[in-house]
Amino acid sequence: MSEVKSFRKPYNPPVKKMTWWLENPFYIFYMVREGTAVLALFAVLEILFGIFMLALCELTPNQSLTGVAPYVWYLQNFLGNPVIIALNVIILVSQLFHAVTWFALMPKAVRVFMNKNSTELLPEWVTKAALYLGLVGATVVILAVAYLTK
Amino acid sequence: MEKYQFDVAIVGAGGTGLRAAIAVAQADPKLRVALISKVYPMRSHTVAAEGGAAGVVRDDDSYQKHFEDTVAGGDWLCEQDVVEKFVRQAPEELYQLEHWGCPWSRKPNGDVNVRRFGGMKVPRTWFAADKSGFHMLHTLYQTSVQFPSIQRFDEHFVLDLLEEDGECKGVVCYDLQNGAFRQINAKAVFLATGGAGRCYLFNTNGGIVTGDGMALAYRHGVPLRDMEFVQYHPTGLLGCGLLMTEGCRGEGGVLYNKDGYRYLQDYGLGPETPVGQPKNKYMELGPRDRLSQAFWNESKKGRTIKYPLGEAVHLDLTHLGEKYLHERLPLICELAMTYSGVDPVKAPVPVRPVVHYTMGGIETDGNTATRMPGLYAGGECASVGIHGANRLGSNSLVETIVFGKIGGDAMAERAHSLKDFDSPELARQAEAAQKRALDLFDVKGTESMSKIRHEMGQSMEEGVGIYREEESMKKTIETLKTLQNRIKNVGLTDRGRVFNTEWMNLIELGYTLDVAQCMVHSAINRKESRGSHQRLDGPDGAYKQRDDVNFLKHSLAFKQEGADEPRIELSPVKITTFQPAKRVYGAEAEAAEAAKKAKEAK
Amino acid sequence: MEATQKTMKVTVLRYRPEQDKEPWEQTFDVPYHKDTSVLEALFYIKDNFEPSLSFRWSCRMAVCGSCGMMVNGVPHLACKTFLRDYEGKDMKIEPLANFPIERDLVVDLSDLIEKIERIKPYIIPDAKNANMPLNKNFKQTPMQMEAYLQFAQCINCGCCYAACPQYKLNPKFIGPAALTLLYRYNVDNRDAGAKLRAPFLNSEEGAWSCTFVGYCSEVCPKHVDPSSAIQLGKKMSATDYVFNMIKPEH
Repeated sequence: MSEVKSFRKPYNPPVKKMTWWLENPFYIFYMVREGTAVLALFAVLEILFGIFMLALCELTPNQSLTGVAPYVWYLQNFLGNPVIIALNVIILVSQLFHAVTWFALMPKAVRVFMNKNSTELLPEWVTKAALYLGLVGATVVILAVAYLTK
Repeated sequence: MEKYQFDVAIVGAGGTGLRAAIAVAQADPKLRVALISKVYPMRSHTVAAEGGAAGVVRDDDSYQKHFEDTVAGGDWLCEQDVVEKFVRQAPEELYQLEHWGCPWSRKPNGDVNVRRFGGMKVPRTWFAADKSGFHMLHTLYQTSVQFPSIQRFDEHFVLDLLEEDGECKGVVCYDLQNGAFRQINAKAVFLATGGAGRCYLFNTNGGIVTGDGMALAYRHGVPLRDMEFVQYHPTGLLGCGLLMTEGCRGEGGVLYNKDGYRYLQDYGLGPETPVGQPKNKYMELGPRDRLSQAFWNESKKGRTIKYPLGEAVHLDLTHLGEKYLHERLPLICELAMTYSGVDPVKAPVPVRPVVHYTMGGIETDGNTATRMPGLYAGGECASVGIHGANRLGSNSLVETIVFGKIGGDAMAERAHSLKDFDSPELARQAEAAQKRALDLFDVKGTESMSKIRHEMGQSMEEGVGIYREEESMKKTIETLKTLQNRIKNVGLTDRGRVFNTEWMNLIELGYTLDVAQCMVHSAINRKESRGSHQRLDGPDGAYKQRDDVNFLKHSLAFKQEGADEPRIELSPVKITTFQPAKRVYGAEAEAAEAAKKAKEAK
Repeated sequence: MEATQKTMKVTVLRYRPEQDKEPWEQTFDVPYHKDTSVLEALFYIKDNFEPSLSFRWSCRMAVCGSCGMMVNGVPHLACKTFLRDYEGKDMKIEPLANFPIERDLVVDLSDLIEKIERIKPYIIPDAKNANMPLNKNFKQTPMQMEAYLQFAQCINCGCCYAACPQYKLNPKFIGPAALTLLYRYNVDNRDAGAKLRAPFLNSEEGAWSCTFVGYCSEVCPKHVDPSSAIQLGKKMSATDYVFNMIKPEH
């Protein structure tokens, strides 16, 4: 008697390598969250650019305006450009969005018990509150430094 | 057909099958084990067990007490030597599971905790919240993967046993995924296929619980023992029948009828114990058969609660509080919410008795050996002799591991004594089984499989339910007989070989029908009331009583060649130290015990 | 049964490997009431219209893990999903995403099973406890149990794999359920096998393939929260890495 070893013919649904994330609102949200990282890159380049321009300056005890011309150009012409201003506003909003969504996920990576004898876990809001506190704290420090060194 | 040579073939990969496989692998890693299951191991119905597993650990407990609870709970139809062995081996097996990672619920000091259960004198039920079966099964499955000698045949459906010279020598099975038949020769075959709750319409069982192994053994002349004893669990969710564990009552849940009255006190289980103070063997902690019978009587008196889905009583857990319920009975809360729309924290759950467990099964000795050399059976599909006429809750989960281990050891020993074998006769039988299965595709009938299944379930409930009478049982016998004929005319709509569930379900239904016949024939032959088998008839209602003179005996259902119905015989019950007495609970039990003590003191 | 029965259009994806080149859709009118689950809708279809429709099921109570499938594009257990929650809409039932379709709603789960078994999902005790007698348990306080218990609730239904885009794009990814199980054993105080499981956790197909999409946790019918276990696994893996840099073994 001849017996075929297998009658199988499994069907593998095609994978849409580029557009898979459009299939589900949850994935779209995820891509937006991750997409904001690209904008964060722009902000980093922007700051690096500023430092570079500052490095081009000739810093002398008796500072002359011509010596710091590159940095002044950076401040006035580059950062002052309406397009760049608009872009920076968008970046600010996107980074806040990134922070909010990221903070929402962070409790998953934290698993701490209330105390040594408890089976109760630290509630999620504590982790989130700590993160927001950190965010606000850092912002305050930066703004304070900026204000004090003006 | 592909042919395999194994030392041991295990059919069914639930608690018993997995435990047996591990036992063989540990006994000798050189022994080749085939673990065959029609589903993946973690789908097996062990997974749905909730309450827990009984094993003596407390200082105020003893093997003797567990033994007495079990034998009395089984209305003295237990094999007492087997029960003795069972209670002694139970704690060891439970500790073994603990070492393998089972998350048994703990006391604050880090030791295993136990809870109360129905019919047990002392709290001795080990539990993993209310997912004990789930955790046991996953622990066993995960533990089993470290043994390379265990080769699994997942999603393989067994069609027949191979038999030569009166000995069992293997199985023939069908690979559902590949659509191929496989012949598996083995020196020992272990049936661990679970129960047959699907004989009934309204049951707590999964769709896979179709009595396959029982039917396989029965068709090969091995008798099914005590099949009339079918357990109704008193608290199934109204509508779907899903199980609300006995642990609910162990933790302090109470039952009310429509008048808000704890009716169990009217049925020899009282006096009433205060709400929130459960007392072993009193009221809600009486045995399952008594509680289910009490519901039936309440229904006759018109004191149940009428819902659109049927009659029910209320299982009230509200006094236990949210925190405790979510810790001890999380699954119950989830199930009641999902399937009944009731939050047990806030409202009582409507419940009613539902078919849950088959006490009877393939006749075996205390070492799981059947009367056919080479064929072994364990777990719910077997009647090893510990449940008698009524199983106590939490004895069956521990049965799976105790007799899985015992069976595994016994088979390892047999395998060592035999050489590999093969013969044209085995191949012929395998081919014949294949032909029988494939011939089903050529039936041109118009019968509907789902109708047959439905009529069988309905008829079983009418004839062999909580209370039984000759008249209705006869009707069921007739119905099943016609169904046996009708099933031959089921035409399949699809000839596909890969995952053809229509085809598999038809073969399963054939198994289930055979088992159902054994149940009703055993029941009509037992002219007395014992444990879960309660009759209302007889001359002057004579069958309402237990009759130790004529029926302190096991029923054996044999397949008759040429006839389409089983032949019933009786066989003796092994009684060692515990003489039959009246089975009493509640205050009556305490009085009886006091009387016994007074007598001994004299 | 409720007197007022409604009807829903239920579309099921069919695929019969021996006849069909690719899957196709079949639509049925299914009557339902407030307690009708998707699984019961499938029973109705199988009993009344299409006996040849294949799907896996058993326990009906969301614990055996057989009936994972896509309902309107989202992974669900058929037995724990109800038609009432889709009222006013049509329903489309498809096999679990990201697995090969074997027939109708049955998928090939062998990859999932192989991964679950690969990561050594069992207690590996240290030498001191290897031969603990069988009349004694490991000490494990309720708190020590709590460290892993949630992650031991997985029923292997495969919904998380169907939800995971990383698994979709890279089938070698060990994936949510198996990594969760790995973490479950690593944090069990009875276990000393973390080192043996490290190669799986740290590997490219291990925890680091996860980009924390989080959808697995969203769809998990047992609230196991696999993405949490994987992030915790990453922490474990990173600590392991740093520790090994400081103090190279052997």
